[in-house]
Amino acid sequence: MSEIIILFIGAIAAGLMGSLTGLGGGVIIIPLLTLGFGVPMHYAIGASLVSVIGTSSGAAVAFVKEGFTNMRIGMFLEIATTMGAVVGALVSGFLNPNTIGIIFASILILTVLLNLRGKPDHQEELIKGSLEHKLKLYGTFPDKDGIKSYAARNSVPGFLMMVFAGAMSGLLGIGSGALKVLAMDNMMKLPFKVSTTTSNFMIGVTAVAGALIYFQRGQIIPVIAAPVLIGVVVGSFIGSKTLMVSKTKKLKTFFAIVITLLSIYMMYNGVAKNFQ
Amino acid sequence: MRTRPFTDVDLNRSVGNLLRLGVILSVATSLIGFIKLFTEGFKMPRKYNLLEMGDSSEKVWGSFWNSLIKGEGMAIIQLGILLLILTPLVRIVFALIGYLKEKDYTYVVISMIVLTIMIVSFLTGYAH
Repeated sequence: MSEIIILFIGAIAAGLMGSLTGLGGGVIIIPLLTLGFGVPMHYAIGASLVSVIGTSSGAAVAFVKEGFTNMRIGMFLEIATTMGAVVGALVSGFLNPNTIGIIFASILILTVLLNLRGKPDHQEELIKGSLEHKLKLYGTFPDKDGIKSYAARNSVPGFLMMVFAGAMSGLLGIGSGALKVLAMDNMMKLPFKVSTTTSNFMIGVTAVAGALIYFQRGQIIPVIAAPVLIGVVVGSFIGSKTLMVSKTKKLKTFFAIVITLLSIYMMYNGVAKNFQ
Repeated sequence: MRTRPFTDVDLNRSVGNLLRLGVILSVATSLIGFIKLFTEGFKMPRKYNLLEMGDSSEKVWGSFWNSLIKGEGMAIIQLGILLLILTPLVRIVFALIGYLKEKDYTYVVISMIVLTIMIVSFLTGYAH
């Protein structure tokens, strides 16, 4: 039973750190489980996917009610992320844990770089008769000076980027929120608040598409996945409450260095074939 | 009786409540499972790879149902995890019904495509 308590405490830390860095719990939980506790890679991915569903659904409640989440844009892009996730989860079944470790490390470094860049905040007008008009990829959100309206752009490249984000989620057991925000911010030019909350909203469904495959492959182990789930949900909750006070530039840089070191360590262990 | 039309605001509210209910139910069920598992005197094996659940979907589901009928802690925890996996799926069905009420047929079709991909995911997992 003590192992379960250690897993639980580790998961709280991962959830807290994932929430403070804005990277999500999965990014921390995979290295912790595999390299820290010696859990086989595919079991770690299965547990991480479950925790990703928990945090996404938990956080989405508040955002959906505040009215920032665009459910239509979310639903449309979920076609892309779920397709990607199914492919990613199937491919993961054929890959060696060390190969997955190396891919994980590369995506982790990419995520850090994406997170460090300044976030653009767009607000585009709707073009009548465009694809975005036909698919209703526009909306409004509450702001301090009233209701703001916006519309999406470049939906086709955005959609393709989402297929990739989904594939990484199914392959590595992460939410790939950073990749989703990249597609919605930089490509589709959505307002920052809309892209972050809608991305979070989609993460749950994307993770389910992968989890259905891991579960039936016997890779979601109840005594690993459940303490991780509960721990990450608790950790992210604590993190979301402290987010406002601690989001300074210095802290962001500190976390970026920690995550970079972590990905180098993952890369090293992948090359040295240390993953189970 | 409500006479005003069903809008996105109603849909947002019901989806929000559903997601919260799903997470709470799932965590509560897993906790009950853990308490049960503890009373059964469960010991974590020295190596995590000894925890395997079976290498085919038939074995996974077979042992799940067997263990659930016996009321074992392991299956109750698994039930909690399955409840969590089910939550976003029910969310899509909710949205689908919402779009039907709003008569937004483009999004009825889009929701159905997402559901179909989920079914494909389940079946490819099952065929493993």
